[in-house]
Amino acid sequence: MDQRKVAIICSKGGLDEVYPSLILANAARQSGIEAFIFFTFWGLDAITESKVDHLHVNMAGNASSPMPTVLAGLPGMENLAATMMMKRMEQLDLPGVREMLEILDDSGTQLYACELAMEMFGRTQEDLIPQVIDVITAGDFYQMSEGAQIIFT
Amino acid sequence: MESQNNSTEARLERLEERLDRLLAAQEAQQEFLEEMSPIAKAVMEAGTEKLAAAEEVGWFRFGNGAAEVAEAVVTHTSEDDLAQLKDGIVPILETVRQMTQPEVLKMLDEVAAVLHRADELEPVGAFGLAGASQDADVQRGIAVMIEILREIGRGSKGLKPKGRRGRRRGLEQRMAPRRAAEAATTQRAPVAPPAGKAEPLAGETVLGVLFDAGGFVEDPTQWTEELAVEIARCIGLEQLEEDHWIAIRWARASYLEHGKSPNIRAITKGSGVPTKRLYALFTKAPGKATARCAGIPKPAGCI
Repeated sequence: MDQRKVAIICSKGGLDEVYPSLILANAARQSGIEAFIFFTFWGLDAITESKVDHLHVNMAGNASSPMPTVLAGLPGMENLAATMMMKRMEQLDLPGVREMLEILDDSGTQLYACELAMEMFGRTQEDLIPQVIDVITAGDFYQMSEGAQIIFT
Repeated sequence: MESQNNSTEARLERLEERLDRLLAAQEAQQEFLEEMSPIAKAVMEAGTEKLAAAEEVGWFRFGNGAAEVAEAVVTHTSEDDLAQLKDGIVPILETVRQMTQPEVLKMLDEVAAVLHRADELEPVGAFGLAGASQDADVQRGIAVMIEILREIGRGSKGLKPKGRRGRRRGLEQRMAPRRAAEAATTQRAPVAPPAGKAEPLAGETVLGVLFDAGGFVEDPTQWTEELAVEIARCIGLEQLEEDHWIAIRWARASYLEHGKSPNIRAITKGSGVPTKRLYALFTKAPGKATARCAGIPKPAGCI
């Protein structure tokens, strides 16, 4: 039986946008599927040391949000939404993003950062959390995800 | 003669004017009294000793009716209430003083005037809102409202747990029967494994114990340690180490206690075997493998 493998691209940095990637990867590992995540563009925030604990939820322009867009754009709303979401996750005993990344690393998920995005945002590997294995290019990503199912989030 | 008449008339007019003014003043005083008496009540409750002192300071000179109020209040107030109010009196007075500053009253008066002609105002839509927010006065008003909201929020932090929890509990009580009914009807059928990829042990019988289609022990009560060793061998674990047993025993105990198979996170937190070690021990899908060996159903959930 061929070893099943998933490659997840995480391109957005909102709290609600990062979690699906992390949970999919974790569920893959729990099911005995190999997993790796490629963090690019705003997704880099999720693995950046100074940002990982302060990810926000942007309600503006979100059609599923119960909040009218006019209000969602007010200052502080992102914070409010993020706080509410974190509270709910705490109730469900879901780990925070940092802890989730640690669990993923322990479970054998490989975490990579996008080189181009790193240059764009002026970040170096020192700015990232220690679980990130390497900074790679999109070409490397394709090479590594050979035979994997690719999920873009 | 006429001039005298005129001057009398003028004097009368002036008198009338003065009378009007006096009456208006009287009315204002009356209103003031009416407004202040509830506050006075609160003040009086601080006790009769305080009253004498307060009278000297001159807080109560506005009302001889206040004494009667005080008497009524004192006879209806317990000592505990008094003790509490004694602490509250100074802040109450301070608040009253601040609220009755002329400029504050003037502002409230103007706000009230707006409310009086509320039905004449045009409804404002999103564009109107955006337009109005350009107005300097509106902007200042928003700033004031935000500041007031902030204070209310800050002040209500201490109050929250009491009310919230009470309400929450009420809600939970009312929801309980519905939740139970839902739980009974929404038992999900397990997702069948892809064709041609049967799970190990699926449908087999080992040591007289039957396994379900997913390869888990059909009846969790039929578990023995020998069975665990046998299951482990069937899923590729030749040797069960001490840490295997810690995780297996903890998972089984947790299942027997909560009626639900623990997920990996629960196992690592509860048994103390770290995530990394667990993945190393059970090589693949440690949550499932632990549950298999512990003779309990497949764990649900994503974490």
